Amino acid sequence: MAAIPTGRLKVPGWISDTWRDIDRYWFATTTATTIGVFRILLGFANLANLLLILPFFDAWYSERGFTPLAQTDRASPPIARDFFFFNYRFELPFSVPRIDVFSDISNSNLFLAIYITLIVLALLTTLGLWTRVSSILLAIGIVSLQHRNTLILHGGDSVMRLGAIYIAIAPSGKACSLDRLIGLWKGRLKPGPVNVSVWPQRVIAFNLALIYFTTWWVKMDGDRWRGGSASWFPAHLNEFHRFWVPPFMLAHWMVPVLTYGTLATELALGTIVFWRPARKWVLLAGLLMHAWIEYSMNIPLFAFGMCSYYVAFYEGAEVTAWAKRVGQRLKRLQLVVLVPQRSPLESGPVFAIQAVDTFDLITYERSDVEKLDCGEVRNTERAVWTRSPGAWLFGFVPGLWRRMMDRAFKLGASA
Amino acid sequence: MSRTVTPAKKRQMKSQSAASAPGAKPEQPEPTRVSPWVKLFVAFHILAITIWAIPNPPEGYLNGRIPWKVQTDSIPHLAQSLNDGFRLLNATKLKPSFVKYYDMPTGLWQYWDMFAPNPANIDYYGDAEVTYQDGTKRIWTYPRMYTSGIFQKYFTERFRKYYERANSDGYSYVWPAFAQRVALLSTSDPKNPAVEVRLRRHWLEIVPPGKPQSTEYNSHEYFTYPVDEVKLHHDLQGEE
Repeated sequence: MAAIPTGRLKVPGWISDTWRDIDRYWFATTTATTIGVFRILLGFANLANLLLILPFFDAWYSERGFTPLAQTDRASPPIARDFFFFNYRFELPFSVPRIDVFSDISNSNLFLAIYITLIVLALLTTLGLWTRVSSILLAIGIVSLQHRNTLILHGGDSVMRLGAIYIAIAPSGKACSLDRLIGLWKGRLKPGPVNVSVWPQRVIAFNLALIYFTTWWVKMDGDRWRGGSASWFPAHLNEFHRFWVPPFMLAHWMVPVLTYGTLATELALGTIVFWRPARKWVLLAGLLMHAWIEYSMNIPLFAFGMCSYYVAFYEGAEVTAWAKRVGQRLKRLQLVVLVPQRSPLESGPVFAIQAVDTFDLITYERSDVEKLDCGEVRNTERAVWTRSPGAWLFGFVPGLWRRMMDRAFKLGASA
Repeated sequence: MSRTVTPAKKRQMKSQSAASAPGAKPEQPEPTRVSPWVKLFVAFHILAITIWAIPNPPEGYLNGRIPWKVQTDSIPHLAQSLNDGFRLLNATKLKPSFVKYYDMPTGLWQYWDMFAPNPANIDYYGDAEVTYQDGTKRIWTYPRMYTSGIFQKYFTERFRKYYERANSDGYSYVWPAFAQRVALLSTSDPKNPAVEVRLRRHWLEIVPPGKPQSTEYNSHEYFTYPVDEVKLHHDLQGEE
């Protein structure tokens, strides 16, 4: 009779170590700064994209436009109810609808009202106000809008749609947002880095690498790419022309350089970008490639959308450390703000004011005075605001920044 | 001591956590507890978007004209046949599986073929010959990037993208709506509306480097449309 093995199966050490490394890479915690910056960049890209379409809303989304419902429905027919799993066929008892809140709206005025709401949501998402709700509604809206009319979509739209979805999934309002500032101001949140799970950031980075790798893969099927002449053609299409291009960039010897350079850059962005020593150089090559495309070809927002994803390759603390290094180099902009004796330096409002000082340019110190005079207060407010990029937008609201500074530091009290 | 704002000669560091201090080592992510369900979702998501984004094999394999078989006569042929076989497997077995119910409805579908497999080598633009009720004819030009200003191009690029599809025979079903829109845009006097629209495409083939390049565009009238007068009347009045 054969002996029955007892005890637990022992997994070799290298397998469990590798598994732990993979688990830690995908599911460890990191600070939310990266995801906050990603939200600002992709939120802005979506906002700009919506605004670019707005003047031609009638052409693309109305029943009297180029693409009425009947046409767009034909371009994206219902998803088939049957599916295959290898050689077995199954059929669902129901059809799965696409996310498309506009699918039955043929009234242009109603559609336009929702479209403008979408613009407001994109603005709120960019600013990080009511982020959870606004980002989810924005993602649903962007997906619906693109499903409503697939005939006008280009690659940049897909980049922005995916970005909107990832913003909605990620804890994107936890950093670099008005939500956080308000939380700090009211004392509901504590200052300092906010830790979140890193997996949304990893998914974003993976998706970007997937874009580049699969693009490279398709290009390897093309004889013009393999033969080194591909970059010649788009550069000579009049409909893509944007700015003047120096003649040497169109010279015959430059064509294979640009063609193979593009292939090498895209392959690197899809593979070795994850290897930390190569990361900076690969991303720099990607930035150069997109900068050239953006300059020479009219493909609005595509380069901006793609490059916005690059931040996902950096940990939150790396982004924060980079901002501080920039601040240290900007010595001429550094300030010490002397605030009145009774100013609290550990209150919620002070933490909020400090949080908008992105480059850590300002230090607050107590002075020996009771209060500042009116002119000094104004100088202080202006100087702090101009050095605080996080406050630039809402600082424009008349009186708001002054009131915030006064409440935080009691600069001039009722001055 | 000034009571206002003074430039700092020596920067005083704020009380910040050591991890975020300048010059600190890049953050090493700390282990955390994530639900196994979340891990499962992430793994499925990665798999689903990858399946959707993997390029299709050459058309001949997809329509069954070329049967796939592994080629062992040389290493490049072996690599190419494995590459094609993997993509054929993905396109015929994995993409039509249940992952389509994840990718397609949610907007996570993606296929990346910018300037691929070969970049376009044909420059297109379109216009239309519009005939009015009184018998007069006029040429209506579809927005063209080449003749637009730098700022205007940013807004109107979508017209180019749409026409890239709308001019082709594969999208002939959009032609009636296209022509109807042309009729609306070219009718300025409701008493003398457009009655017929003839769509024309103009194209120039970009030849490879080193060959003589023509600058003359070819032209072809590809669709004649008798205008739907009732719809035109409604559209002119802005009725839904």
